[in-house]
Amino acid sequence: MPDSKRFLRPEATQRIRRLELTARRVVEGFLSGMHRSPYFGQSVEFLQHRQYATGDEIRHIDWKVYARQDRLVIKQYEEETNLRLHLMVDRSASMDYGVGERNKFEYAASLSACLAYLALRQQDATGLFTFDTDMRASVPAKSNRYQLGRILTALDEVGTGERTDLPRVAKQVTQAIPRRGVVTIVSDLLGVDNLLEGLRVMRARGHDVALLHVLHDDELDFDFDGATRFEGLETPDFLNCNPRALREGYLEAMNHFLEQTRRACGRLMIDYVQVRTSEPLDAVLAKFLTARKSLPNLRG
Amino acid sequence: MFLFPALTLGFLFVGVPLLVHLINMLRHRRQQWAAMDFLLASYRKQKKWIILRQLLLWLTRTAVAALLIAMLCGWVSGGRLLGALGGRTTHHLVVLDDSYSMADTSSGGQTYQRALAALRSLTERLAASEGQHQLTVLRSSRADLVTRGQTSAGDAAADLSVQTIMGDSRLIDRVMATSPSPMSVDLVSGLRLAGELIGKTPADETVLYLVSDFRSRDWQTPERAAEVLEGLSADGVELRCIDTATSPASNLGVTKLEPMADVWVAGVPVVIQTTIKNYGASPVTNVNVAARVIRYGSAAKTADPTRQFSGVVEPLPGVVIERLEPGQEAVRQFQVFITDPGTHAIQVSLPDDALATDNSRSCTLPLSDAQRVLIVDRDPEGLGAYHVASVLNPGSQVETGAIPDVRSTSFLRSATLDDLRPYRAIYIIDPEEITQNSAAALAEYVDEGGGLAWFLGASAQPQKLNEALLAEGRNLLPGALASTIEQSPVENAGSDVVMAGSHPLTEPLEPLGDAAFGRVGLVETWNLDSDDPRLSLLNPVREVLNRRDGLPFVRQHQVGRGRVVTVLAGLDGNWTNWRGDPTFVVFLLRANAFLWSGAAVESSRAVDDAIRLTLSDGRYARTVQVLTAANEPPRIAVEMQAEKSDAGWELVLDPQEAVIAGNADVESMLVPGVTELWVSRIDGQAEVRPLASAVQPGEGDLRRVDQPTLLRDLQPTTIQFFSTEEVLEQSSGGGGATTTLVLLALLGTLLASEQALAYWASYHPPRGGGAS
Repeated sequence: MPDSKRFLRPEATQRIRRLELTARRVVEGFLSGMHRSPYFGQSVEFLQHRQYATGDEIRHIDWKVYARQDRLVIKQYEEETNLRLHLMVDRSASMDYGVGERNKFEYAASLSACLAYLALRQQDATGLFTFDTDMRASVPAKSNRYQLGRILTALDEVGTGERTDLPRVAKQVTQAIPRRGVVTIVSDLLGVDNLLEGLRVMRARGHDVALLHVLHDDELDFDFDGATRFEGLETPDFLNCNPRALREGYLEAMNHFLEQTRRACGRLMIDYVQVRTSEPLDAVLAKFLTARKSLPNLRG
Repeated sequence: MFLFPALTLGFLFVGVPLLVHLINMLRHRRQQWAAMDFLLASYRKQKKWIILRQLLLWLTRTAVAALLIAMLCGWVSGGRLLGALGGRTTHHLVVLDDSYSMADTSSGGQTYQRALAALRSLTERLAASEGQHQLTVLRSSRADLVTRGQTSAGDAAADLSVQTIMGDSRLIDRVMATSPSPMSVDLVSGLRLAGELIGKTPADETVLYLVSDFRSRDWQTPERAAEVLEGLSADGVELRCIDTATSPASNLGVTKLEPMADVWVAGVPVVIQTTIKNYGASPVTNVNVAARVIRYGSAAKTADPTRQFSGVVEPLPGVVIERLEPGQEAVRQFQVFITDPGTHAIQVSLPDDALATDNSRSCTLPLSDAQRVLIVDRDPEGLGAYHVASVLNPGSQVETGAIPDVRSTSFLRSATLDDLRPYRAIYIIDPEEITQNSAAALAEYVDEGGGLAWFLGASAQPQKLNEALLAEGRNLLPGALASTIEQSPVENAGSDVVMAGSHPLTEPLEPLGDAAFGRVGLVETWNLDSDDPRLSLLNPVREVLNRRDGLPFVRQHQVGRGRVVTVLAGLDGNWTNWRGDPTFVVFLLRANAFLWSGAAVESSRAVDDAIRLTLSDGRYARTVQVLTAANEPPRIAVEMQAEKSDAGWELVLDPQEAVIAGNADVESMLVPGVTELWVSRIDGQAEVRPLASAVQPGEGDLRRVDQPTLLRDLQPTTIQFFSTEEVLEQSSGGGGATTTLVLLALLGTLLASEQALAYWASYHPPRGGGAS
C-alpha cells in the first residue's frame, strides 16, 4: 500500500511527476511515429457497438450505422473490452544497481510508467504489482484517469536485499488477478529462485506473459578495471578480485543464464525482451511491441 | 660480490612489488553488485589459476626488481659462477716497484700512487671478469730483502699471496696503504721471486705485471732481467709492463755526506764533505744547501720521542752552489766544531724538488777525547820522535787531538796487543829489527783498525825486518825491504820528491804540485821488492810519494781494517831533510788522520743494512730503547732486549729478518735519518748511540728508459707495455661484459615474462566483447 505520507514528500511527488512526464514524452513520441495505435492484444473480432464518446478514435466509428440511423457508434472488438495489463515490477535490492536513469529500478519504473501510460491511453485497464521477496504493492487494473497516478505512486522505492521466490510471488499475483490478462514482468531476474517454475505458474493461469529482462550495461559487459571488491546487493557475499581475470568466466555464466532464460520463455510462449538500461525507452517499447505482434496468436 | 656494496641497500626495494600488492589489496574499489552468483561462479571455476597467475606475476616482478638492483650494484659473482661452471683459473702476479724513485712527484702526484691506482683498477677489472682470478702482489723492496737473505720465502715477501679476487675492495687495502720505500733496488730480485711463486702456484693461466717507473738507470744492463723474463715467457707466463712514470722534472740529490778522514776529537774542527748531484736535464743555479748539527753527548741525557731528535739541533752556515750543470756533482765542505765528546750527527738538506727522498742526508761524527799515539824511536836521542811529536802536538793551544807517547824500542819488544790497543796510531822510527812477538802484536793491532807508520832509516836490518813483518801473512810492509838506493842530485832536475798521484795524504799539496817539495832533499831510500812471495796483500799498495827517479819514497797499504804508511827514509836527517820542511807537517798531520780513520766506524749506513750493537755485559744492561728515524715527531720508542753473545750483549735490527718474520715494523726500520739507540749503563746512566741511515744514491736519476730500445733488448721475449692511463681506461670501460650481457638477457626475459603474465592475469585492457 502506498504510504499516504509519501505522497506528501516533495521528492516522492517530484519523482512521480518525473515518471509521468517521461512516460508521456516517450509514448507520445513513440506514437507520433506510428500510423496506428499499437495494440497490446492480438484479437480483432467485432464484438458490439457502443455509443460514441468524445475522444474515441474517429476511425472506429461505424459509418454504416450513422448512415442508417444517424447516430454515432463505435465498433468494439473483443480485445478492447477484455485487455487488462498487469505490470509486475521487480523492486528487489538487485534492481538498485546503476546511477540516475540507468539505475535498473528507475529504468524499470520508467519503462513500466511508459507501458502503463500507453495502455491507459488506449483505455486499457492497467494494474501494477511490485515484488521482491514477497508481493509488495498492488494496484488493481483500472482504466480511469487516476490510475496512472496510482501506478506511479506504487513505483516508489527499491525493497529488501534477499532472494526472490518467484513461484510464491507469482501465486500471489495470480491470485490477485481475477481474470486473464497480459502480465508484463519487468525484472533483472537476478537473485530469483525457481524462475522457470514461477513463469510456469503465471502461464498456467492462462495469462499472456511478457518478460522485460532489464539488465545494466555493467552486468552485460562486465567492463571493470582495477582491483575491486564486489559486494552483493542481495547477499552478504563479497569478492576481492581483478575483474578482468574473471570477466571471461562471468560473461560465460551470464550468457548461459540469458540463453537459458530465453529458451525457457520460448518453451512457455512468453515474450522475452532483453533490455539494457542504456537503451532509449522508446526503442525498448518498439522492440517490445514488435515482439508481441510477431508472436503467433496462441494463448491459453 | 658487488662492485658498489653501498648500493646493496637498494635490495630493500625488492619488497616493493609485495608492498604494492598489499597496498592494492587495501585499496580495492568497492562495487555493489547484483549478479554475484555469476561472479562467484566464475571465481570458483578459476580460483586456482588466478592464484597461480598472481603468484607468478609477483615472483617475476620481484625477480625483475632484484635483478635491476643487482646490476646497479655491479654484481660480479655471475662471472665467477660462470667461471666456476667450467672456467679457468688465472693467477695474476704483480711485481710492484717501490724503490725510492717511485716517490717522484714530477706529474704532481707520486708515481707510486699512480702505480697503486693502476693496481686497484686492475683488481676491479678482474673482479668483474669471468673466471677465477687470483692475485699476488710483491713489492720489489721486500723481494730484495728476502732474496739477500738467500731464502726463497716468497710468501713472506708478498703483500698478497694467491688471494682469490672476490670483488671485495678490501683485498688490496693493505697494499694501497703502502708508500715507496727508501731503498734502491732493481726488479730482478722481484722477478726471480715471482718466478718461484709462479712455479708453486698451479693455474690455467698466469700473467705477470711489472709495475714500475722504468728508469734508464735500472735497465742499463737488462741482461739479468731479460734472462728471468725469458724463462717466465718460456713457461707460458704472459708478461705485461705498466709504466707509471711521466716525464721527469729536475732533481738534485745529496749523494754523499761524511766527515773527512781526520782525527775526530772533541775540540778539534772536523771538515764535513758533502756531494750534490744534478740529475736533471738543465743546469741549476744558486742551490742552497742547508746544514745542521745535532749535538748529543752531554746535551742529550734522555730519549725524547716528542722531538725529531733527542739531541740539540744547531744550524750551520749554509753552503751555496752557484751553478751545477746537468749530470755533474758539486763537492762542498764545511767545518764543524764541537767540544763535547760523543757521537753527534750532521744533516744536510736541499730545497724540495721532484724527489724529496734524496734531498736530505745524515751522517754521524764520533768525537773522542784526545787520543794517545805511540812513537817508538830507535834513536836514544829521540830526534825523529821529537819531530813527529812536535807536529802531532805542537802545543800553544793548538789541538790536533793527538797525545804523543814517546817510548823506546824496548817497549815495543815486549808489547802485547793490549799494550798497543790504547794507542790510536803507532809511529815506529828507524827500527833496527822487530821481534816476532812484537810483529804479531802489531799485525793484530793493525788488523783491528789501528794505524801504523814506518820511518825506515839506515839502521833497518832488511832481512830481520822482512822476516818479522812479512811472516805468517802479516803484510806489515808494502814490500820486502831490498837494498838502499841512492839518488844523485841533479842540477835543475826539479824536486827530489814528487807526488805519485792523488792520495789523501798529499791532497792539500796537490794544488801546489811537486813544487811544494822543491826544498826537500832526498839522497837515499830503501827499495822494495813487491814480488816477495811472503807478501799476500789483498789490496794493492798505493803510491804516495816517489823519488825523482820514480823509485818509491812513501807507500801506503791496507791490512785488515787498519792502514800502514811506510816512509822509506829515516828522520835522522842523513837521507833526507824532509823533517824540517813544511810539507812534512802537512804530510804527518794527514797521515795521522789517515791512520786514525782506519778504525773509524762508518759515519752512516744504508737504510736496508742491519743495525748491530754490541755492548759489554759488564758495563751495560741488556735493555735497549730504540727510536727509529722519523721525518717528523713524534717518534715511537721501542724497548728491545739484546741477546747474550761471546762479546757481551748483542742487538741486531735486520730488515731482512723482519721481512721474513713478517714483522710489520719493517717500514719504520727503513726510514733514512738518525736512529737513536739508548743504552743503560750499570750505574743507571743513559747513553745514546746515534746511527745515521741514508739512501743509496743514484735513484734520483729519473731519466726514463726508451721503451723501444728496452723491448729490443728484451727480445725474443714478448712483453706488452701499458701506461697508467690505459689501465685506468680499461677498468672504467668494461669488465664482466659477458656477465652484463647475461644479466641483461635475463632481465629482458623476465620483463617479457612479466608482461605475458600480466596479460594472462588480465591486467591488460580488454579487447571488447560482452554478454549478449
